[in-house]
Amino acid sequence: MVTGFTGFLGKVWVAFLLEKAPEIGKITLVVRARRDQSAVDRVRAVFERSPAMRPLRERHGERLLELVRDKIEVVAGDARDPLMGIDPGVLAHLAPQLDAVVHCAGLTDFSPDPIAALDVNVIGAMHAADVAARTPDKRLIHVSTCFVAGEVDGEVPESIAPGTSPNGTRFDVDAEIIALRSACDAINEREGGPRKSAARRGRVELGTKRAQALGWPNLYTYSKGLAEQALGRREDLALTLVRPSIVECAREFPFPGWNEGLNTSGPIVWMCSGFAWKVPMRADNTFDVVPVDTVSRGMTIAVADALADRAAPIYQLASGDHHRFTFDRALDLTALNVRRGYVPSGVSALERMLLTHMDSQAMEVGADRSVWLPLAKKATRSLRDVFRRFDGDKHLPASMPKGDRDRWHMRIQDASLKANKTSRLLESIEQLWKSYQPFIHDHDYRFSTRTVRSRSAGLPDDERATFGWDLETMCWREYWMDIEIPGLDEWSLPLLRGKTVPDDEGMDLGGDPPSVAIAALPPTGTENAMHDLGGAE
Amino acid sequence: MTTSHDPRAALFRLEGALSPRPTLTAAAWLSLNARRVRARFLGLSSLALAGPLAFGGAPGRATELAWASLEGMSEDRLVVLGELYAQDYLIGALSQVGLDLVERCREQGQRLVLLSDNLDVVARPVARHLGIDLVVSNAMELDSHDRATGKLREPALGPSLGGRLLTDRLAELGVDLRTACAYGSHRDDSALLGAVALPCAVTPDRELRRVARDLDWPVVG
Repeated sequence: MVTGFTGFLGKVWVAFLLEKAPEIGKITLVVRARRDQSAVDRVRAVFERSPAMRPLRERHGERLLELVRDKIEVVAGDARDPLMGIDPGVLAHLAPQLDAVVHCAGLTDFSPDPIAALDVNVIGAMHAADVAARTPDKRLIHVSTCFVAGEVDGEVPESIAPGTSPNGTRFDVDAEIIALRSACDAINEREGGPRKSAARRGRVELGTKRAQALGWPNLYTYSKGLAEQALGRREDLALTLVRPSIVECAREFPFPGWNEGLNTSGPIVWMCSGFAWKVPMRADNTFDVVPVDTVSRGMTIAVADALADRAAPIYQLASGDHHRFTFDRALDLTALNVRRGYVPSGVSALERMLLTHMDSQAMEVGADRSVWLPLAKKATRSLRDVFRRFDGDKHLPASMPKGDRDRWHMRIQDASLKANKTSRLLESIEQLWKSYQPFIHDHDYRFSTRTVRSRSAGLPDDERATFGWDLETMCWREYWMDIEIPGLDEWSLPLLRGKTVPDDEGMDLGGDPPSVAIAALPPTGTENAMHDLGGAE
Repeated sequence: MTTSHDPRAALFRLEGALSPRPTLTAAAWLSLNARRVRARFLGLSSLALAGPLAFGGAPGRATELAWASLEGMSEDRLVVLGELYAQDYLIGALSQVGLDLVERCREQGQRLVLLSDNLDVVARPVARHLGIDLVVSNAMELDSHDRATGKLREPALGPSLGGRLLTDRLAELGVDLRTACAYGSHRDDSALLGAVALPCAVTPDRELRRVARDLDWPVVG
């Protein structure tokens, strides 16, 4: 059973399994329905049009429906609900057949609403665990993040300290959840309701302060840390934690450069390819990037180990301890890519010429101590205000013809709008840098990856070629310049510019009008809860 | 067109026989494209000193100064800029006479070798373009952070290719100078041409033309 299929990693991993391990039995996808789209239709749309499924569409063509019917089943559910909102009858039917539950679903926003973060990342994980506890072998593989380590430096071992936060504070997960919810309720009441923007701001500020008080840099890592702690306490599970680092563009699968959504590197590359000449990073700190298909390999190793009952407790999937990449190198390669002719989308010829010679550099100072950003903001705001106060009648010569006067007025108003836009952009950049600061400046992480590398080394040769941890074979220069930057430019950066990224034209899975066939179920009146994909039989 | 196998190697000096650009211009261009503006100015200052030395009879010292201007440059930057320089300034300007000679040697089944006192990051892209597998060139010494020290990796080749150093480097590649042919254009290539079985002066400068005439070497172009 897999949750999070509609997310970036979930899609790639399931596609990877179907492509590379076709002997797999059945994958049950727990998918949340949307108001206008059923769970089945969401899964259908992924197989039909998501670029992540291109290799499957290319290999199987019109026979893809057969593969999907053979290997996939869809269950409507929601991790926020008890037992993931799966119909009890469906769960009773499924659970005895499940070998493992792989929980990929989660909120990846750095600063989410703390209540949403608790509901999805913490309580959601507990609900997945409850489902796993009902399976014969009670296996739960929970996808977390390396950055639950918090605000630390140096080697980060594959371990967990029960009841202890990253800065050594003793805490209780249940008490933490209750306290946070109560505090958020108080804020909601004070601000006139949970939907008020002041209430949301207040909740995020409160949650962030609490996270930082315990040694986590933000709400995301705090909620993932709480989830690990909550799961680690349970005695009714065979628990395996998988902690990926920064998951980035695919190296090879489904195809080089594939990415989805706004991830960590996208904004960094965007700003380094623009006019952020001085970037608030520490040059020699580790930029712990791992391609999504390499993470898929690591996840497969962890799940296979779990199924063979020889899993280690924790698998960290990272690069910094054995194939290190630094921020300085990323900046240098990003700048060199512009020289090589890569033109960031939406950049004029003049801008490109300037960018070619303005290589971004790390300024070694955190965004909170940056001088140039606040100065630049102040300057653009002052300019905007000056332009706004411009009055043609007062400031232009009386002898100027009215037509010229009006034209000048329009130009100044345009300039004022541009100055305002630039000021807001600088504000966004400053906020972005501040939220990234723990990872790009304050701390240098070396996540230990001993487990996945040693397990990979023990694989038979043919399996190692397909599933082995192969990061050391990757040339960072080629990956960053030829895969990551073009991949981000195509799949992620348009989102920063307010555009959407279209799916593939794809294919119709086929079958008679896209309806669902109802699987045979025990007579519990739950026929609508579980569906096979495809046309009516 | 018949391709016959000729075990002799054909050695082509990049600077002159194939490309009109001297090695110093590569060093200057790389230096101008250093990451930091200060490094660009410092590099150009070094090159300003190197220029007179090159023409003033101290080419070895000129080379040292030229490459010293790259101190601190990352390996990534050297590789990418080297490729860019080769693409933009060398490959498009290769001499037709030199290209025809390369093709003729290839048709005869000879082993092709590109010789250069330039950096490998510049010479190798040219070799790839020409379909030449064997390259003998210089390489920048890197420190433990993969940054240029400003010195060439020893043993370094000087502008005047030849002597024991070159013989040993070629021997490592299985090339025997005593049976090879070589193509050069400058006075600096005299030692190389004098060491091979079949020398050839390609659009030679005045001094090499005189030597070729005296020693009865063929002259092309």
